[in-house]
Amino acid sequence: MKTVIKIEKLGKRYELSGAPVARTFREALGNWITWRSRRSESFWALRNFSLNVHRGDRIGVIGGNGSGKSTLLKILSRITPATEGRVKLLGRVSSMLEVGTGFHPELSGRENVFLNGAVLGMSRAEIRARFDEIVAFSGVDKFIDMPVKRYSSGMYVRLAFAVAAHLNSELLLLDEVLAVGDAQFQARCLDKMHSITSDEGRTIIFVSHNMTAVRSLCNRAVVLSHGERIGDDDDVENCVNLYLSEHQPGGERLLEWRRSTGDFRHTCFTPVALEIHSADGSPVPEPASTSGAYRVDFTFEVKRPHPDLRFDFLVSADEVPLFSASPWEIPEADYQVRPGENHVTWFIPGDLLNARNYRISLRASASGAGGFRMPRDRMPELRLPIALCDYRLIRSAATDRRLLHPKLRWELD
Amino acid sequence: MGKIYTTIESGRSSPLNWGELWQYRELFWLLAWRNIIVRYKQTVIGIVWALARPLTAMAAFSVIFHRIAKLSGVPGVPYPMLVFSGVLIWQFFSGMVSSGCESLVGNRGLVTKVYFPRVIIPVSGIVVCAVDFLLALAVFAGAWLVCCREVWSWRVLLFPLTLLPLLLCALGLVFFLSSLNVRYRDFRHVVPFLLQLGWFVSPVGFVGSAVPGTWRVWAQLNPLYGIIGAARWTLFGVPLEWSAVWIALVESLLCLAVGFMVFRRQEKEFSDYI
Repeated sequence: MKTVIKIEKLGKRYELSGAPVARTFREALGNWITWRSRRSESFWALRNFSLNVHRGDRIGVIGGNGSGKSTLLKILSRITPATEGRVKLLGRVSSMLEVGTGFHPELSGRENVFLNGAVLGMSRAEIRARFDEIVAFSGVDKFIDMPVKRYSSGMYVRLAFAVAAHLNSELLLLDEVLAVGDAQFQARCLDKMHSITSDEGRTIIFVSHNMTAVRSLCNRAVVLSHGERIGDDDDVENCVNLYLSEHQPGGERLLEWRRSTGDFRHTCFTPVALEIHSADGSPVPEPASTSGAYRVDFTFEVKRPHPDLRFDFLVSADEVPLFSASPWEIPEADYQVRPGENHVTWFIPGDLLNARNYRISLRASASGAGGFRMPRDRMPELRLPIALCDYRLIRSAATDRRLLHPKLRWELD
Repeated sequence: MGKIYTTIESGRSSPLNWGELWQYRELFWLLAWRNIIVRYKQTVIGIVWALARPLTAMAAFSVIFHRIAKLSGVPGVPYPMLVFSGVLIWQFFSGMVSSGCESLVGNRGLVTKVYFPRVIIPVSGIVVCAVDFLLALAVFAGAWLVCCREVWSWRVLLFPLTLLPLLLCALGLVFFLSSLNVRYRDFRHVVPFLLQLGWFVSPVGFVGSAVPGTWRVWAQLNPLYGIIGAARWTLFGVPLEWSAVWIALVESLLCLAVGFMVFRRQEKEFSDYI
């Protein structure tokens, strides 16, 4: 296998912006007079990074925010200088760190294709040769002579991606450009990128948060954390798992609630314990996945049963109530509480929730004499962050706003 | 497709790669063309602007310096034509400097997202000013043919040559100011102020000989003094002050050298500071 990119001990140090690095000439002058610039602080955005990339490799670079992924791409594409180390690249390099770099709103689609192509390193002859292909791929042919400021954002992005997809440089550096466009177009982008690498023997370095895209596109991967490479395995599956285990899911996990002094109590209803497990009773895995089924166990104490006692569990995400569960909603159960300790368990089926942070809160009240209403701020609650999506992602996780993702039954002919 | 090797090494500024500049010539023209298109998109307004600015300046300066300040011009040349020539050159110069100074910051999207020789940006910005200049020059040429018959001479063929130090000087300033503007944003306030001053310090609305003797030494230190003087010599036969021409030449070359050096030193880190 021929090595086309050889990265040796690459590092990049940034001066910290909080430190007295002058932003204006006036400040610089002030610093210079008082010798303050000597004190500037710095941090390493990337350190000690080495990697050999072979021809035809599709390398996924994964890592959380600020892990150094983008810095790596910026150094490789010579946008920013490295502080230490060296890189050797064999072949023409094109980088796409953003969709539509150099697009000007006043120019027509046609003009922007030429401009953007030149910005990405294509010659005019090359663009002319592939122009029809580019336009056909973008699907904006009818509007190609209209200024892009009148394009919808989808059209804009499709045209921009189409230009990049027709670059014919040997090395492509891509930064999460898939996080754009509608589902159908994204699937086409992925297909196109597959064919670019597999059919034409090109090399791609792909930086992404999107594990599904990395899985389907890449044959090798690296994980970055705080500017350093972690793990020495380049197997995609292992890297994705390593990343997911390193990477804290966005939300706080609160899988168990137990009564403590000061919590809500009433003679006819005192919550004692609320917890969530996997449906089979084992602990909720970390990270939790959308396909997982869960059980919620609730224990409460009753001294004097109240005929109108009602409680339910409200499941919400992003402060939006989604659904609730209450034992009284099942007519055939005819649920009655008994004096003493009561247990109820309910189940959340798998393939219902999406990759989001869920909150499960208990609401309870009893109307009439001797009744109560549990105040909002004293509701016991659980938090269940789900970080892993198991369905096939046809939409970027970054733009996915769906709070639920139930698996539905389909009939397709 | 030829094999291309690239080596990225830390802490070393690579020598200027002329081959690479040649490779990116198309991007240069496309950027220049984009600037022109965007500027003249609403065609009528764009062209009207390019002509209205020098013409109003000419009218105002003729009134102020000739009618009010009673400065005398050159025999055989209408005073407004003298002013027009000065305005033409000065506006070309100040247009290049002011648009060039903002060029890098204005193209931040390109600078932070793609690689290409950064020199392309400020230089492609200058091309638009050249188009403005040529439009105004066409009007001027018409007026010159009609009103200045008495002073026509072969010297007019040298006129383009006088623009050479102007270009060098502007280019040097543009390199210098645009790279400093990336690091220190307050330059964008300083530059318009200095250019405003330049309108009156440079011999735009008056002829060099109108400056009293003791002041003339200082006035000559301004490269525009020599350049505008030389241009008026080619156009109207105004006596040439050789000392001023030499000063302008040396200063322009120096300006270009220093500006380009500063630009090259900062170039690599533009994307970190912009």
